[in-house]
Amino acid sequence: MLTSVLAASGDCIKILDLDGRIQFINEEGYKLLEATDPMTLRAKLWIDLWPNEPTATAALAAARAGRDAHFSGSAPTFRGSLRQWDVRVKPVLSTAGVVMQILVVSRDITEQHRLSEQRTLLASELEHRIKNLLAMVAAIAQQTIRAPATIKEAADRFAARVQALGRAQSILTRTNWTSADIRVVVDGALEPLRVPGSNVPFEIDGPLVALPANRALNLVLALHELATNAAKYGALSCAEGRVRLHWRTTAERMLIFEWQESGGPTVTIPARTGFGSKLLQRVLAAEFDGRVRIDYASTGVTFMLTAPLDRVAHGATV
Amino acid sequence: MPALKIRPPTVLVVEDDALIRLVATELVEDLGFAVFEVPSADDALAMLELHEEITIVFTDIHMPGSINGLELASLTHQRWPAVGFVIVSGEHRTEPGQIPPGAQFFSKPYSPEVISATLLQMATEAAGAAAAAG
Repeated sequence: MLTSVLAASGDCIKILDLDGRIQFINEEGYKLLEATDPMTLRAKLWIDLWPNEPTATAALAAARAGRDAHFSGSAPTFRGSLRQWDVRVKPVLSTAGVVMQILVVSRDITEQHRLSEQRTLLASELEHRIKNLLAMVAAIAQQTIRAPATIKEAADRFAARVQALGRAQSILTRTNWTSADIRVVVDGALEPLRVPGSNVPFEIDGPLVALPANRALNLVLALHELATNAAKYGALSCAEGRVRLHWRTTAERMLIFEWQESGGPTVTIPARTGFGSKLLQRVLAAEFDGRVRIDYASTGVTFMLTAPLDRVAHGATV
Repeated sequence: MPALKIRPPTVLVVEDDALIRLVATELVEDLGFAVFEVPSADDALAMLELHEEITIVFTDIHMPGSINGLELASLTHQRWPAVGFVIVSGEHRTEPGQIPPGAQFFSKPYSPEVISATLLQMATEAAGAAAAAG
């Protein structure tokens, strides 16, 4: 009866003598310890199974003195793989109340431990991302109010920029925050401006290029600024206007990305440098380690980004 | 002989995110200070070697590269103890002893007003110390 109970348990169950030597171990127990057979453990000092766990010594001493002990710690198996254990150490008392033996029940909690560590890591990663995102929102707010505008205009511009940031977040969430294909980034950024079911007024063309998260995010913000400007003064301000988005990679491993407007009203060079142009010239160029050129030709605005492809992703977490 | 012009304090902004760096740089410029900006702590050390006039470093902690902002602060403190530090971060809680004496820590997102006031105060103190020394 007792043997079958012990055999049915998923825990590692051991009985020790008062010297702390293993007298008995159940079948599951020696399997968990990755020992070839129970004899490997016979008469071994239990404490030797815990090379890095001083609490095991204290637990054994407590049980010898007639008290229950409980600890969790890590110990290697006989094959050397490190496992996490939840351990109960109990004295086995005679009818007269004398400690006769010591019962040790160890539960393998490696998996739970790993999951909980992963959760902690995810939570801190998430906090970092949220804080950075809030810092970006604060940065966008400060940049937005620098431009001369009514409070209403500034509020609308700010909301639109935060929405662009939101679209970038959705794109990156889908790809687990590692990288995103440039086509997905472009489509996501332009989505609110497109005629449903078609590309109009855009003409989009280019190969697959994986962009690291920080670059993808900044490209969405940059395209939002270009599109906003085009909707106000450029090709997107009239029905005939078109924007051609084209990118290619060169033999020298460079990415050349172009935004080319046509069919809009005659272009005039803007009188002041706003956030849009700073975002393109300074922020986007820096995040891509590249160069940005904006050309205000009278027939339509052209924006061109030239950046090296093989520079290892900046590694920046966004 | 032209009158000697008093040099404005010079701040080095160290931040990997280009948008946040832009805003930090403009915050410093608005104070009338001279500013340099770099995207990593490694670049910051190179900049400090080149520009002795840097009086304050305004840095993030978590950045790609061989050292982070806290390591930058302690290395800088050893070599150029007069350089002031304003340290910001979204993820680190700093423990006493992690930041060099005289450095100030703020968590992200920070208040531009508080950072401006801190930079102004540090610049004033640095100018006072320089005047007393010279």
